[in-house]
Amino acid sequence: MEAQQQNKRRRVYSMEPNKIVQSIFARNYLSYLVSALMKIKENTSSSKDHNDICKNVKYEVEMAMVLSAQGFAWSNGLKVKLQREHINNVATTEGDNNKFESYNLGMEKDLVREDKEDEEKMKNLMSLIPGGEEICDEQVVNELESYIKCLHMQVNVLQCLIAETC
Amino acid sequence: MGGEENTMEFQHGNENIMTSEMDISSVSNMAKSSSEVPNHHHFLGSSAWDNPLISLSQAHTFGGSSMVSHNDFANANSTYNPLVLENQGMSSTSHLVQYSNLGGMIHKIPSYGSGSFSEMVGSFGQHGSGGDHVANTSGYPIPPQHYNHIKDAGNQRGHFNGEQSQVEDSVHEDGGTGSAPGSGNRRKRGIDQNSTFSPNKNAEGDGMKDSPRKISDGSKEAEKKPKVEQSGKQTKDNSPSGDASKDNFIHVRARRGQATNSHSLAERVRREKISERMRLLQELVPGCNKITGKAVMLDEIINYVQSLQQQVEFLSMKLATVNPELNFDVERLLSKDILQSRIGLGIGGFVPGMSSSHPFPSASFQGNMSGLPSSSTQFPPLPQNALDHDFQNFYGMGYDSNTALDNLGPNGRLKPEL
Repeated sequence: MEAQQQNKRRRVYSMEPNKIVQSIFARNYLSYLVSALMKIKENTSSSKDHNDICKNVKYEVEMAMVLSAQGFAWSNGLKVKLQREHINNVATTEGDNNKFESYNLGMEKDLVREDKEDEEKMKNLMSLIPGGEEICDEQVVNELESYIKCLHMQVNVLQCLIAETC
Repeated sequence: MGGEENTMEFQHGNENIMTSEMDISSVSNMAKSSSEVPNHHHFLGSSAWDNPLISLSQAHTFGGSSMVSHNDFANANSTYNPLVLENQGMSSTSHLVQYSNLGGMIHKIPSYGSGSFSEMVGSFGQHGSGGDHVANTSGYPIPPQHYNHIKDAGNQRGHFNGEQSQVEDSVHEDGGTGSAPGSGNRRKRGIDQNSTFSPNKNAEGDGMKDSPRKISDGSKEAEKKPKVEQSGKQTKDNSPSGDASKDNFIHVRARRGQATNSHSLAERVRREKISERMRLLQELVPGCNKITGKAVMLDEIINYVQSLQQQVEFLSMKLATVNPELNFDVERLLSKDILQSRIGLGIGGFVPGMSSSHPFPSASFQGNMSGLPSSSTQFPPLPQNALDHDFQNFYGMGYDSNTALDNLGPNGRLKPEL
């Protein structure tokens, strides 16, 4: 029985389990996002500012991301950031701009030692990931990989969503 | 074989694992048979050998004070050759990096130097060979077979932080690094294991923790070894009273011609680890296959992440503008070929298979938006949980996804239906 299980495990591996993961992600993501968007749509009155709608949508988009990919440090970081910003009602774009800025600063520093440069870049990279500064070195790559994959999937899902509704 | 392992620290670990496993098992056999063997004099071989290598893997098999005998292990007599990765064949000038992440892997085999292999394997195990295999979770009756070891090894890397090793004997705990804040990969299993094994670990961890420091080897390097290990591995949690054991040291051995300063050793270890992971990332970022060089790679990754984030923003803004005209049909969306192809679902039929097994009809969905969340839960909970659970691990689909597939089998066909 256990041997069978092992064999099954092997089989699943060869079947590119990531596809399953992706489909699950898509399902979770969409289910949350769609319901949230419907709510926004219902709550939207004509007087509401377009910016508000944008903010809400962005919030929901990111929230969907958090909920679809639990268990990663970055997803928790994202959740924290979202909650903070939601409370403060700050647009997420500002945060992103900061990230970009910090990265540029890092590039301008012109460090000599290659290791320090790499470290600097790693720090920049970590700053890109929500909650990334606190991720220890061991988990950096895991987090990065999962984050990139989730971002990728998120983009796909959003594109499909828009394509459907246009 | 030992020499091979010695020099192949970060190279692909599968062979290492197998050989190491065989070593370990043989050692464990020997260990059991000679449990009385006091650490010290049994291994006082060539005293001239100031090899700083410490083989933790045997440590716990000899009780609490086993850590003291690390250097003695290095001088092991012939009976312990296989286990001591530092074979006599090795020149004394060569050092090697050896991760000893004890207890991380083996749940049932004592004295398994799983730490070392898990660390090595973990670096590459992520590829899907078992990065996060469930094998060593508490619920699964997985025998300590070689196969599982490999999986566990791959698992361990990701699980260092949050996860306690499934130790049933007096094996060193692996959870040391798990206490890192944020616990990077906060797997559920890891948490379960934590709670289960913390009492066990506390007792052992404290005892074990002190012994490495007592290593009274004459050589400077040996004394530095614990520090290297400490700095190398346990960057965040150093409190001995923590529930996680701190005994997963990285035993580093400087290669021939390289600096043996403890700091540079640790640095080198870190660097090599990071470079390994960079290779993993290369596969993720499109178009990075040909790039060699860490700096360029990092730049590419940064650019890619930024572009993805910008894309998400743009799309969400677009969604906001489109929002008023929305009329969603999630099931239809999910089954759309566009989604599948974009996400790259090779198993084209999988999604329709899933959606066809959905209990909720699309009509009701459109009319009743609030019903969506609840209806999504109507989906067979086990595969969903299992798959979500699996998703967290992201790589180790093995058992969980297997469960999921099994559940999907009876519920819905996996063939494309649309």
